[in-house]
Amino acid sequence: MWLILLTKVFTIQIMDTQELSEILIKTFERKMPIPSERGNFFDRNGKQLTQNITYCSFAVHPSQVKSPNDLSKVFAKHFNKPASSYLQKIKSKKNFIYLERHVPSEGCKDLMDLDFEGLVIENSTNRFYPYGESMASLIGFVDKDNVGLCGLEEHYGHYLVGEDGSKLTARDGKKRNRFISDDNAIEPSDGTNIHLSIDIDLQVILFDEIKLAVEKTKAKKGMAILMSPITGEILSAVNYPSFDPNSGRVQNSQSLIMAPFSASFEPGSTFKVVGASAVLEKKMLKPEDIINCEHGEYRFPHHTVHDWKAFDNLTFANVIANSSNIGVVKATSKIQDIDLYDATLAFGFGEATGITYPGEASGSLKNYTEWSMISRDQISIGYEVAVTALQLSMAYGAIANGGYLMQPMLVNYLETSTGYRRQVDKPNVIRQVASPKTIETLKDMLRTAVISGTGKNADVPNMGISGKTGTAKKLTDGEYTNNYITSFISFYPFEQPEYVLAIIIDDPHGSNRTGGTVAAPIARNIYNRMYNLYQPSKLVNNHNDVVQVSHDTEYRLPTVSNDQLLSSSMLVSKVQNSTIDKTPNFIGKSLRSALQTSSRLGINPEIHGKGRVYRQSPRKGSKLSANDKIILYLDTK
Amino acid sequence: MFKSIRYDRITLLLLSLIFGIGLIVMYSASTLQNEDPTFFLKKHAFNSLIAIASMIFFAHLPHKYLSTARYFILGLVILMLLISFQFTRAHTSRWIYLFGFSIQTSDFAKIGLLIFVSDHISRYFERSEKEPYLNVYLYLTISFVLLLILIQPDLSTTVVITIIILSLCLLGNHKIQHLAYLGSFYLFGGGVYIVNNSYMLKRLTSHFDANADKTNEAWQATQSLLTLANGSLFGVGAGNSVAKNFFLPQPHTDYIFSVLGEEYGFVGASITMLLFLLLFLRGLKIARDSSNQFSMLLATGISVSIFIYAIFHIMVVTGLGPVTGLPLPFISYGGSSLISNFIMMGILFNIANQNGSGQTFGNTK
Repeated sequence: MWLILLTKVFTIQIMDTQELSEILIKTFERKMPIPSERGNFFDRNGKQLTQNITYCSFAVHPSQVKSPNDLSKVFAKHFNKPASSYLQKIKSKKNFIYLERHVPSEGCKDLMDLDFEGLVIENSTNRFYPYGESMASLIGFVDKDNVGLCGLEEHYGHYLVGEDGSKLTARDGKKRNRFISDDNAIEPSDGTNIHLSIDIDLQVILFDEIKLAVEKTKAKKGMAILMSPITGEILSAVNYPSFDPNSGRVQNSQSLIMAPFSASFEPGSTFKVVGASAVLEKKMLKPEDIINCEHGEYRFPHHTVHDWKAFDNLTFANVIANSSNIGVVKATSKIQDIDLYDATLAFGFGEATGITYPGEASGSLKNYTEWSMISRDQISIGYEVAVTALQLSMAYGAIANGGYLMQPMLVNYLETSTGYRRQVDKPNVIRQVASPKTIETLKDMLRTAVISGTGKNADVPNMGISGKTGTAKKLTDGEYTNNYITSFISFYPFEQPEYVLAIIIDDPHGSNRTGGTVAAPIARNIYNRMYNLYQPSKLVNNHNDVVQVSHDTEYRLPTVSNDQLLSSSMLVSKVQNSTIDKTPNFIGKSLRSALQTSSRLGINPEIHGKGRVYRQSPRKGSKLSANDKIILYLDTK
Repeated sequence: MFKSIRYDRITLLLLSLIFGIGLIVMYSASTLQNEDPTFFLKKHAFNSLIAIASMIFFAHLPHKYLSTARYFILGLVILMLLISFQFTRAHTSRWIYLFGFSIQTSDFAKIGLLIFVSDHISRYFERSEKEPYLNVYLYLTISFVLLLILIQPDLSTTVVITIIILSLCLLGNHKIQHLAYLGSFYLFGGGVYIVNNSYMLKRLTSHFDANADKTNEAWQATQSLLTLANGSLFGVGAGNSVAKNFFLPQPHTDYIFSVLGEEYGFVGASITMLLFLLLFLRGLKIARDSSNQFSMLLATGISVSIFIYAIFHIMVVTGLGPVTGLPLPFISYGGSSLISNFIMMGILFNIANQNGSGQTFGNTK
């Protein structure tokens, strides 16, 4: 009998070990996922545009709690509430009851390791967008399962999603997890961070101004793009009306469409630079040549053209500056259809710019062989052609930078959780749109338009803003109505433009609805605020040196190193002060609004508790240096 | 009344080794069973002190007095078992609770029965040939006591004691025919009892059905096998048992051999088994050398008792037997088991001492 037993023990311990340990693993080891963090968006200055906030909820199964007094004391101490309130919950007859819900995880780290029988700790991660509406259309938002639903969140979804790790745990006889074996743990790899070319400070300014203007004029829609003509980087792209990405609700489904990239419209007068460029390129007219503008109304062979104001004799330059339709139609009548068609294509119209953004519209441009008798006249003043705000910006960028149509850049680089960076958009010259001489002339004309033409309302003294207004009748059901799309496309500074700003206000109401009266003042306000934020920098290198144009069909920049590119694009924005003179007041603010404020200042406060801020350290108004920490105490009272 | 004795060296050595191993394993196995890791160790140490004191007491008490006090002892056993029914908790009446201690009555009843049976067989060894009613009288007494233990309920102890007593009866020249009748009667009674107590049936069926749900009924048995297998040849090392983390129910009592096998591997497990075998053989040698039949039977009963507990415990742990809660002598935590086993060792030492000194006492023929 003893020998049988010994044999049995031997069999179990030596012979069947493999089989039994397999059973052990199958039955008792569990793969516990270690959640990974979704990648975040950053602006060009490294400011965080999205955050993942982890919340903890604490609940109990009252019947399973063995030491209700101890448990309630721990919670009472941590949350500064009377122990009796927790005790009441723990002793309730319910099967499951929350003690505390939605506590930011920073405030409850020490509670995470609590090991009370019957206590349940739940974690949930919420995506938080500190810049709210201003970035909503561009970035998009995620659903409650952290799946991107639109915008960049959707487009870059598979980069943003990290890979969850796992660790092996064994469940003991009491169904508790034990023996976390670190050897077999697979570390989670967080999602890839996406660094945009956007400058969030400028984005906020643009959004504010567009919002204000749209609300003031009761317009249908407003869009704005701010880009760097040197590199093609989009510094801001604003869509209004927008939505609050933190609310999880979208009131207006239209706001989900990133109109500056995806909505095409007839541009009107802003398009006149294309015809002018073709005329200048063909050397049919010089800027100082006189054109008779026929006192506001002129019968061409096939149609009649009106001007917004009765002009008589204007120089070609003043035709553009004053936006005379008759003058432009007369000027472009000196060239062939194909010349205008080629110029339109050269400026990038009629085809998508290739921005790394989902759902870009390509606009529409008929082939010149299909043009009617009046098509050339119409196109020369910006009708019969549909463009996007982005295409307009890039075309004006080409004028601003001396004649090179750039590919728009939106995503500078991706950075994986391991620190590996991959450049996505690089400065890329698509083509030279016209000769430097033509471009110089166009620039002068656009400057004149602001000094003495239709764009006067945009002028800021000593800033040298150049630009062109546009007021296009909207085509509804095949007929031109009395509704307008007003626009102002400009660049600044004049000598070496660093910014191109496109403002489009769709269907403003009021007595005076033109690009010059609606859109141009917005540009002025924006330039004013930008000027206060960033002093215009002098370009160290002439961008012509940086952008080396070869004669291939594709103009790449193989000789430029990343450092040079970075430095050239960094020129666009100056580094802001690392110290904050006055600590803002957080008291009374909700967590969300406090985070919004602090994000804008580039600080990451420490949060205690939940609810509203009742105490802050340091006090408001005190000086804060870069290394100081802001601590906020929140309470639900 | 008390005399100085010489302890049998070999028995003492074997006992010390087993007890020493027990202390280490029991401490490791019990560390997580209470908030205070040394809680069970402290209690075990306290129990051990009482146990060793009891052993010394019975080693020095000439065992002939046990024979003299047989009716007193039997009465005490029955009284104790009856009292335990006053302490019914959760439908079981196995324990008497006194001054914060719980006494498992069947452990002490076992010693009492051993003494009573040994005495009765040796006392009426020759008369019983002619007067079978003496054996019937013995069987009735035993059956009554066993019934009391069975309805506590404590089936496993009942079975073990029955086996010990039947083996003594065999040694005492009782007719195999009679014993077979008795045995089948017990089996029948036991069967009826098991069927009426579904939890026991479940345990039994789970054991004999290889395809039974491995997570519920056979959870304990499977766990025990896995624990042993985890130990392999040399074990995972002292204190490193995985199983004691609530994978095994009662790792410090009913499944202590699994923990031992896990921490010290097949080497440790087989050495422990060997020690029990040697202790058993040494006990049988003491029995064989004893000068009278009472001593012989008592020594045999004691040796069989300790060995069969060890065997049964290891059978349960290795899945050879149905899941029962039998402690491993000298190793498992549990005061009653420890003290009763040490008392038996004390009696054994006394018998061995008597053999060695050639002393004898009148055989009450």
